[in-house]
Amino acid sequence: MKRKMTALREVLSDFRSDFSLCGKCKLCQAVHVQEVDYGRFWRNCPSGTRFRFEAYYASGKLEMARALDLQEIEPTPAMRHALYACMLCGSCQEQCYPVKQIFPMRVFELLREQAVRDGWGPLEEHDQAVTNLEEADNILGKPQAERGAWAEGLGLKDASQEKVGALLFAGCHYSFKPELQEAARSAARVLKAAGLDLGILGSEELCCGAPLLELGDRDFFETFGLENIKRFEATGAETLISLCPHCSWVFAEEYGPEMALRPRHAVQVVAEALKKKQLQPGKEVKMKVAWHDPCRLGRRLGVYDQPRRILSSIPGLELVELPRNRHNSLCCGNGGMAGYAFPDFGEWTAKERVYEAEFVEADAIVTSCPWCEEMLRKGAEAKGSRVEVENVFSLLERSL
Amino acid sequence: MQRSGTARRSRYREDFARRRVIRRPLVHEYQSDHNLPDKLEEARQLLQEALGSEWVSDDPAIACGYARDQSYIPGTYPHIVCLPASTEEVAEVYRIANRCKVDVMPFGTGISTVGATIPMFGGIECDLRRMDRILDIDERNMYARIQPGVNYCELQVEAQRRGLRVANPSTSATAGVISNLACCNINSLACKFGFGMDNVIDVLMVLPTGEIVEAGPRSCGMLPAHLPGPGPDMTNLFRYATGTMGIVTELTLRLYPEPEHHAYLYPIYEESDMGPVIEALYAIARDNLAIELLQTQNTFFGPFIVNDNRQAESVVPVMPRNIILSVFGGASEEEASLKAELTRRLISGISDRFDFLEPDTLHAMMEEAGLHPLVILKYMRETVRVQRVKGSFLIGALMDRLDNLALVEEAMRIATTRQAGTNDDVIKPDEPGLYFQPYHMGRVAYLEFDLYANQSDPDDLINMLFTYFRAVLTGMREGAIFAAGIVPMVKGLPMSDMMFPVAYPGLSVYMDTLTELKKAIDPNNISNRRWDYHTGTMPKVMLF
Amino acid sequence: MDATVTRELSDIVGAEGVRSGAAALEPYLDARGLSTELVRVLPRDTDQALEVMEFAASRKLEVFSVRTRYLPKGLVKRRGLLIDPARMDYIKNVDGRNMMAYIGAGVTFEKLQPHLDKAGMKVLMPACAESPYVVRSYIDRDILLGSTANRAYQLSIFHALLADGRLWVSGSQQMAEEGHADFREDQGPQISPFFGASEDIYGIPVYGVIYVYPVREERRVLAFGFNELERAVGFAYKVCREDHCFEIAGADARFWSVMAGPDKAEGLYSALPPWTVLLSIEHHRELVEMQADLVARDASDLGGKSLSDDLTSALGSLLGRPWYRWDRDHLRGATLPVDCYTFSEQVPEALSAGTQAAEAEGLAPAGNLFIPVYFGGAFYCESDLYHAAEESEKAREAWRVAYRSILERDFLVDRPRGELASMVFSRAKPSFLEMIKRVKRILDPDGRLNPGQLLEEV
Repeated sequence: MKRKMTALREVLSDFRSDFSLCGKCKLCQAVHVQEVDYGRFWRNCPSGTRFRFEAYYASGKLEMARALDLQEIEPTPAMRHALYACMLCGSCQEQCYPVKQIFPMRVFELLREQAVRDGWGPLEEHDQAVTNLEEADNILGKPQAERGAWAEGLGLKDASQEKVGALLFAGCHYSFKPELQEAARSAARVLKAAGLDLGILGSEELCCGAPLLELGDRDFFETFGLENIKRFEATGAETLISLCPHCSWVFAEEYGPEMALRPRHAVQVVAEALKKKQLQPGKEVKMKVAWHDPCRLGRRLGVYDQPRRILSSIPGLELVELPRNRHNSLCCGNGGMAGYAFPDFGEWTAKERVYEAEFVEADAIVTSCPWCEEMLRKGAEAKGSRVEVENVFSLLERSL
Repeated sequence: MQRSGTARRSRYREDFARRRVIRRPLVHEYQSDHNLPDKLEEARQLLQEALGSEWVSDDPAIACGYARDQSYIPGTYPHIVCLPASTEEVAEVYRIANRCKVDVMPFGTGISTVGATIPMFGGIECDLRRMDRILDIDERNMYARIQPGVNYCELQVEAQRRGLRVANPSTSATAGVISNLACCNINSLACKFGFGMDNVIDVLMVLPTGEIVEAGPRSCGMLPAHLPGPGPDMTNLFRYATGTMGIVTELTLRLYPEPEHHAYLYPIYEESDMGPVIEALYAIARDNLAIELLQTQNTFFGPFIVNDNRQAESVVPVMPRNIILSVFGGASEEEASLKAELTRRLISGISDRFDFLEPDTLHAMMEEAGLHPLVILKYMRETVRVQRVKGSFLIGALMDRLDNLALVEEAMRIATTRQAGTNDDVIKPDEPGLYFQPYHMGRVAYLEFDLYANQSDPDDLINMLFTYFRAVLTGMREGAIFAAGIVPMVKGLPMSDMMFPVAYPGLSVYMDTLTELKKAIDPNNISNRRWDYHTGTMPKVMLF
Repeated sequence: MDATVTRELSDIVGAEGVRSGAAALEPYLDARGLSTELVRVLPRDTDQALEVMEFAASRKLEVFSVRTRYLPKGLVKRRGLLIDPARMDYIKNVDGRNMMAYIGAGVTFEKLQPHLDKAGMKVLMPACAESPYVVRSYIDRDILLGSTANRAYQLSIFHALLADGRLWVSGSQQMAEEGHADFREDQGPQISPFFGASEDIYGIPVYGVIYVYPVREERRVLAFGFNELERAVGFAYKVCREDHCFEIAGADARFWSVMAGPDKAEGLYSALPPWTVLLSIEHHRELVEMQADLVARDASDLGGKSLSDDLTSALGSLLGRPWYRWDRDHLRGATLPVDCYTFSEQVPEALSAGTQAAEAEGLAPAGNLFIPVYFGGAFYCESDLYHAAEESEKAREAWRVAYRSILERDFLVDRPRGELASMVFSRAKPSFLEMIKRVKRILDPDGRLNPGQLLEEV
């Protein structure tokens, strides 16, 4: 029996009114225009700012969708580039929806789905990622047997063998990338310290499928999704805690309605634990930091306050805001599989974000997303910046 | 992981195949000596050499983004899109265009309600957004020098940080400053500070020949000391030109002192006779104390303060029929408050049927929604909500004395309700969004009415267009004038060279001069080509 | 000049409207002993003026216009017609409600004043006018008292004679009848502004719609003395930026005393401090009181002292009337103003150019004036070089030196004429000059209208 999630499906033509009613007001290029403190930081569309042609902004991509719909144009290399250079950060939709009730980002997601179905997407630059998922069940192509190695010695339960209260989902990046694994370990230790009955699937954990969805390969995403739901529910856990906002997003929006577990990002859980005094940070961490709102955690899931509460609870830590913060947050450069396909572009975007941190004289940018951490570090290094990139749980753990 | 199921033909394609689809022809014109295919290819190559291949494209997927705007005008694709980064590169674009006889259409930010950036015949779309710097902003001497990609949001933020204000129009804060000064710049400070050409100190522009011209003080290497001299003032040759006279690549504009303290007064008037409202506007404008002054009717104001269509429709009836927004400034709170109080007494003396929305109450309500009136006035965002009702709108913009505008408004309102075959589809008398904007101490005023349409619904569009023209012509019959210089838009309409001077004798010399000047600075007729030099008419009729 | 010319002109404008021979140039020039081939024509209205222009076109005559009170001597040698607006002195209407006045080009400030008084209105007065005509003063961008909060263009609509006998109509009157918008913007790209400060090479204005202002409930004139120019300028800047005045001007004791006239000059000179800023505040009484206090406080903060009532009154009487360049002549016989626009912090530099040049040539000390424009965004600076007839060479040399200094500093010299035009336009980018010529070729292809008056080659 097929699951409900494969039944009703939106298609591009469902959004015909959206791409027909774009008023070209260009609010999609910007942060909320009434919340700009410095003229330097009004822009918020990375692909539009970098590549400049109208097609790289939401207004231009909506026109692409309309022109395609009206059979005025055919897919071309330029169309593919413009479509996949988008980081799906949601900033355009964040500005557009309140005034026009248009969903530009949704149009672009469906345009990508259309591209995959019609065979002109994704890009060749994505081939390796897709192959890795086909052959190794993770985006990095690493052996699944090594997936749980990051958690050795942490005393986490094997959720494939025993029932757990909360299932911790590390995600591909935190699981396999050595430079990111320590952040995952810090997160796990913090969650354990908060008293959670925590377990992981380890080598049984598959990719959440988010990269596939971002590429527009909904069918293949749903293949992962169905299998993941089966494995999650088998653990008997009530809560599914993810460390990566990309995973959190698909768990909440795609898996959520079909899944018995309640999906949450780790910052939500930890913020709650702090509120209940299950965690009591006591040691000083003297730093001036700025929180970078990951797109999928902030704009997609509306989680803005919790990470700030976590940071504010750390003694000695001075929290400042980046000029583009909260729903105005600038993408790190690694969203929508754009940074994957165009690493130079991703780094270019990250450098801009690092510049913001320098502007407010922060010692570090703090975040809680492996894609962001990775790309921001690249940007800082490319810039020769003194700004560090930290994970929120690493900082919190230092204070416990 | 193996894919489940087989890749299937999308519903989108199936749906498409079922629909009757007319593939829109992309032919721009027949038998022209402009934009010939081999010349376009030559132009493309030359542009790539001049600007870098990254900044030139002839891909339809890129071109389609420039084919349409907010208006009803059918999509018309440029052949090539290019993004120059400097005045010299813009000049080179023009030189190449002349050499290859390819048309050029400038594109500032593309926020146009009238097709101003849509290339009539294709050619080169010259997107100026790489030129996006504020080159200089002088706090003490109150001016800024900017490039075409600078928008009001950015300039206003930087001005505000220096205790200054830019006269931003009542449109999206993402509108380009130079583009907006090229066409209108109707703003709520116009009563006290002026608008449009009042703001311009000097310009650097590229003529369609590729010649670079400076006008204003910089023409003689002088300081931008707030006068358009020395000698003949050609700083506003680009105004209303819609790119027919060339491209402005730098502009120095005035900024205004932002008072330290503000006070607000919101007289409201519920009745439909405009007499007392006009008197009130005259009185406030004449007093010249308000730094911002405008009047709106509930149809215009309502959509600004709520979140969606349904709310907008329900809110209009509960808003006051007429609201006057006035903002006062002062070196001290007492001074600002005194100005507001004096104005309140003035209004109360005009009619006891005026009431006043208490600023504290209104502001508290707005701050709950995260807004403040000064923020809304300086950084317009909600204005684009007027589009959300149906997606697009046409602006009816008339100018006349305040006394006459009351008559115009009434006649226009009647005209919009009388249509052949009156039925439920006509615009109801209360539907047009309306507002009055006094200029120059109330010596003249601007009346705007917005008619909404779903531009993808042909019936709605036709209905709106006919209503619009009827309304505008009615207003002009009453003596009002279209509030933007329309000659570049209508020049070339069939018999326009004959009809307009007959209807408007004062216009003939101006039209002749403009025609000759256009020919002199654009001998190949490549910059926003709208009418043919030989015949004087438009090969393709475009009303805007 | 051919006798048929004067005869035919008389048929158009009446015999009283035609002057030839020496009378052609009186009273604009001391033409004793000079002969000229200019014929001065004084049309009564636009229709007559147009006919005159058509006539000139048919005869291919050059046409000049009276633009200043004293004509340049160079005009004597020219041949053609000299259009004098003096008889076009009709005042069609003063519309107090919409604050505009509709006047012929021959209306002087003095002639207009009673009509304004009747309507309870006033106009902005020029501070260094070369012509008594209101339309001329405004179209040529004379510096106006009241320029701080009121934009430069006080002229909304104008009508101008073109070389071919057609009439140029500016602004909204291109498409709407008078009595409606009467707004200055052309119905497309702005060509009408070319006519301003252009020595009438494009067209000769014959009619204009000007801005007038209401006489307010309360008017207060204040005067503050300063020892230092920088402080005086700083005070004026602050007052303007905060929009606390209607008219404002700052000047040294020399300037004020000269402007006061020959009877009062000496007494005033010795009584006044080095620099005095004179301003008016006018509005509702309560507001005037409050603003007067604020202004007094600002002055005091900068070391300014309020002048006595008598002195204030003496200076205040200067306001409300036009200041003509020749008002200054009584001191030594003649005055050569050196003027420019610059930013507030450079006012001392601008004024010192004229002062030092006068000193270097051994002339009487210059009188110096500054007027903020546009909320203090810029300042008009003027140094008056007073000289006797026998000192005119020295004065001219001092004038040149001063302007060279000013131009070297890139200060804005607006509406240059004659020799100054050559100095200014020698700095102009060729493309700017080419645009001037382009429009000239369109509007006056034969080059008969004021040839050589703006630029030699135009």
